[in-house]
Amino acid sequence: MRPKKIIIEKDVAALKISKNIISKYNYAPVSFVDRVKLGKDKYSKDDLVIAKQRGRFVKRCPGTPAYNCCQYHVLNVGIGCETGCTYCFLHHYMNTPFIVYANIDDLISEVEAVCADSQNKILRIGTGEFIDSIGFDDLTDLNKILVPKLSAISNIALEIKTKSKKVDSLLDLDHQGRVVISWSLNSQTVADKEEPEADPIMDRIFAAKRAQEAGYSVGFHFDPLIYYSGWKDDYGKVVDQIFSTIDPAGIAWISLGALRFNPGLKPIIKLKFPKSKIVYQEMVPGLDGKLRYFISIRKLLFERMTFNIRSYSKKIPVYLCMEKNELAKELGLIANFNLNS
Amino acid sequence: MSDNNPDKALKKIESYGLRPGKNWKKILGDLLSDIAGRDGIGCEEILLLPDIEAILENDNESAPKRLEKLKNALYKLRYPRHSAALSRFRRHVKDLALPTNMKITPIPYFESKRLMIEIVYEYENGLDEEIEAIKRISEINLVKEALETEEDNN
Repeated sequence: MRPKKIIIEKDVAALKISKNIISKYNYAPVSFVDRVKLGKDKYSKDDLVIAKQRGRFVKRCPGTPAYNCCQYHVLNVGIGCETGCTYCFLHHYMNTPFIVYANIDDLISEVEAVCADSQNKILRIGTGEFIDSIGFDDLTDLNKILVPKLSAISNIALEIKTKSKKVDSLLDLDHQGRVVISWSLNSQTVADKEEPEADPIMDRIFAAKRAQEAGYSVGFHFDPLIYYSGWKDDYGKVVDQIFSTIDPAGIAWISLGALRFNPGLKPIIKLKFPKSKIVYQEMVPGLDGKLRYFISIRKLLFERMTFNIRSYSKKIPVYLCMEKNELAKELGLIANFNLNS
Repeated sequence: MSDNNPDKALKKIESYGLRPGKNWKKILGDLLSDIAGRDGIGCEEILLLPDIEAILENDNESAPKRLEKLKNALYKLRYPRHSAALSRFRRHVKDLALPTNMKITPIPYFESKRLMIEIVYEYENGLDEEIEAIKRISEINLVKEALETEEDNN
């Protein structure tokens, strides 16, 4: 990102991460405020806000009503992503600036406390909900702090979720085997059309190989799977590419999720991405009110992907994201995936 | 580039003597716009499809009836799998020959395998017929049959 303006809360102005960001973008005018108040037309998406997280850093993934949940914990380190994927829910927040929460010591204490409260469980916690976990490093170098600090917690599985190939800064970090770097994957056809700024699929897979060689476990998220003419062959190729590049023994999980979004996103996608066809497939309201492919299309997608993956490995945990447990069971997949079952 | 804007097509619908109100225009406009966007054609071209044109030109039917038929025909074009599943479901239910006081409804869009069975019960009539009907229902997996996957050409 090349912020046009930096707005920083005085409470966090003296912190190292804030100073680093300001010096990295020393061309950008900086304004200091007591407290950032987000509101309509207050900031633009080209602004960078450095703020103090006053709420919780760690939240249970809200999942979606009436569908299963993998009990994931979201680590909210900021908001903003530059990959510009057409289907991303962040388009709801059109004029929201990039936000970095700078009180990282508070974040670490909170994660330690949350994990201490669940001593007998491994908690899967990830930063990739509102940001690209590696893309965000261009701004913050956050992984250099989080990986060694959080991997010292004995019952954590920290997930760094990305569409980036830039793993270099992670390779030498002390991760103690408790960090999973995962890549959101799609077919290259979908990536070309719907993920215009993200790295090519093969680059992501090669980055996973490098991460694996550095001792990291890796994960893959085929989410959102998109139904289009040629999907079967295209997705099959990606699965082939994974298993011809990556050692299956080091794959922590693969998730499958079909395209879904709040109905309010549909007109935004149509307006912002007139060439994208994703909203025109047979999408109907699910039990949670989100638009999703009609069930028989989802089944086709999941069945085929499961078949492809299982033809290489029967052991890798494969789970469905935000689907009914009855569907997972029907497909022989894990219902309610978590690391403790 | 196709024109997804349904305004002209809606005007054309009006020219057939149909008078869609605001809500109808929204429903028809969304369906037309989505079909046009998906198929890369103009909204007006959709109205030239034989099935659609036949509905528009059928002066023997009332305007509200034609609007309903138009909506259903467009829905079928926009949501072919859901429409086909619903037809299959209705066909299977019909074959079950349920008593007239019984109704069986799937969860919207078949998002779950559950079915809702409604019985309007009167003490004097007993439940023998309904119990027999429930037995017949339990012998067929209606949702599975409805979702029987067609050939995927993609």
